[in-house]
Amino acid sequence: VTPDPVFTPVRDLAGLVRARRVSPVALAEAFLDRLERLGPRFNAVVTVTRDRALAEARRAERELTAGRWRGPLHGIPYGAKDLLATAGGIPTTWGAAPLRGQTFDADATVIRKLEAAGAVLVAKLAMVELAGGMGYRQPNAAFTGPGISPWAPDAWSGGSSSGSASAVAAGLVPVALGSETWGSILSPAACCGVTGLRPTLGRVSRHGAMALSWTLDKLGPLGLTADDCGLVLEAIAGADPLDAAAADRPYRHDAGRGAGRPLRFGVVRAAVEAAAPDVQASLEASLPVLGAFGEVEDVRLPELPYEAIARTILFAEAASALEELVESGAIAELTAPEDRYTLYARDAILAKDYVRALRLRAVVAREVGAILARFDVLVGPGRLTVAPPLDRELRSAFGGTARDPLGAIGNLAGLPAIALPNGAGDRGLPTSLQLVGAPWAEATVLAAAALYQARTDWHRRRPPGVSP
Amino acid sequence: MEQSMTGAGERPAGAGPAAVPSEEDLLFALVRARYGDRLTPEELDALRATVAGVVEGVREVRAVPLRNAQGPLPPTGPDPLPPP
Repeated sequence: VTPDPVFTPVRDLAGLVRARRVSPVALAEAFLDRLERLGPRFNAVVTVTRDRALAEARRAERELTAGRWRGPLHGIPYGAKDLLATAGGIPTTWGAAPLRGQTFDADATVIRKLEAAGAVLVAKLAMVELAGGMGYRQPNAAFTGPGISPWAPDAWSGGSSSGSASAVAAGLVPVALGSETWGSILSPAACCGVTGLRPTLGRVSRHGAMALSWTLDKLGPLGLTADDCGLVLEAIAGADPLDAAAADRPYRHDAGRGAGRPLRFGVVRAAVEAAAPDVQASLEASLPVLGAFGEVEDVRLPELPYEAIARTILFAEAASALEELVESGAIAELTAPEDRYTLYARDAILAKDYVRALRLRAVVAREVGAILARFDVLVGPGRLTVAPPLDRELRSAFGGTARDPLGAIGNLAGLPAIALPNGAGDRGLPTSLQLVGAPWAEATVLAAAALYQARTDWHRRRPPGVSP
Repeated sequence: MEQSMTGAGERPAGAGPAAVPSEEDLLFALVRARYGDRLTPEELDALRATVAGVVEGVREVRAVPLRNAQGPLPPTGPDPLPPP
């Protein structure tokens, strides 16, 4: 009997591939079929990369037949957020209508690294236009339509890595790459009930990725489990001669290592109190689980305008990064009406205020560093609400209409964080737990998440109507 | 058209005290001068509100005291890359 690969964690898939129980070509075909058949239901896909996928899968099959095994991603299909450059005429649209035909001559570094690991690119996945940098206030902010959570046809899949999260949740890909400037991995992971890892700033090369904010952008994986995210991180982390900001800090994933000792969890009360009641309830229910392998206590943050600092930096850098689109008037073709003019307002940020925000960022890093000297992991909600309805105006810290202190702190200080499903909230939609670690402490964050997932089954629950 | 003899920033003799424009007004005027011709009145209204939000945010940032020695985080280092 051929095992069904859909909703099988990467490590298990790798075992099947290595044992030759599943062929990489059959694996690619299975996920290509699901992408083409189910992808439109969730507005999850920009381009199905069938030709490239089959070429890479055939290569993997030849190598495995010859006895060469590249590692746990060899022959494993994956999807990439459509802000990662891909060569060969495959469009890279940044989710934006005026860039539908944009192509690049070379792959982004993360795509090249995954190719070197033997992984198979099966799709470019939908995203909020320009990674949300224009200040969108509604789910319908991509030329592919609003991202839809597989958990409900009228629920948003989150942003800006919308398709990366919904494709994993619906079993269209085993794992996917996303990006986060502020919330763009963790939020869709939460909306779609999957696991999303935001690595430390500088852990992963951003060469070939759309820039939104050079000092805030990170690339990271979304998958079914923390272990899946760790396996992908190992493949994409490390120095890159094409990205000066990529540190020479490779990551070695050891799923069996565990935490090695009881972990110290600090529950960020300000973040919990900012969340909706159903999200708070799930988080409170998660704390005894964390307590089974660590010590849990509350932590209070120093009073600082975290969100305003992050917004000032992000707005100023996005205004520069997207200047050409603004000045050319191409933004008039964007999907969300507010995205066609909001960026103009960023000209109102003065250089002195931007520099002040950068100086305060150092204060934030020092303050949170002092807290992380007492705790291994900070705890909060992965998202403040469950997936919002498609027809509702979004409230967000990014737009200044909601609080998100943990998101602001984590991104300002460049901290690794993971979001993982931890319950069911309003309408049965997933809630999410966020675990944040010290810089370069992905191993601790992933170990804590894996220990949580070993004791719970929220990450094994599947949306209705997407069974294999 | 008759040219005014009054220079920018000067007021005619006998005029009352000038109302000082708010920072929000001044910055919105800048944004409108740059991009106003591309926008509808409704979009301009929305943009004014967005500028107000920007000003409100930077006021929060300005309110935190900093000493001279408190600079930004160090950059990652000199860029070793060839030009694109």
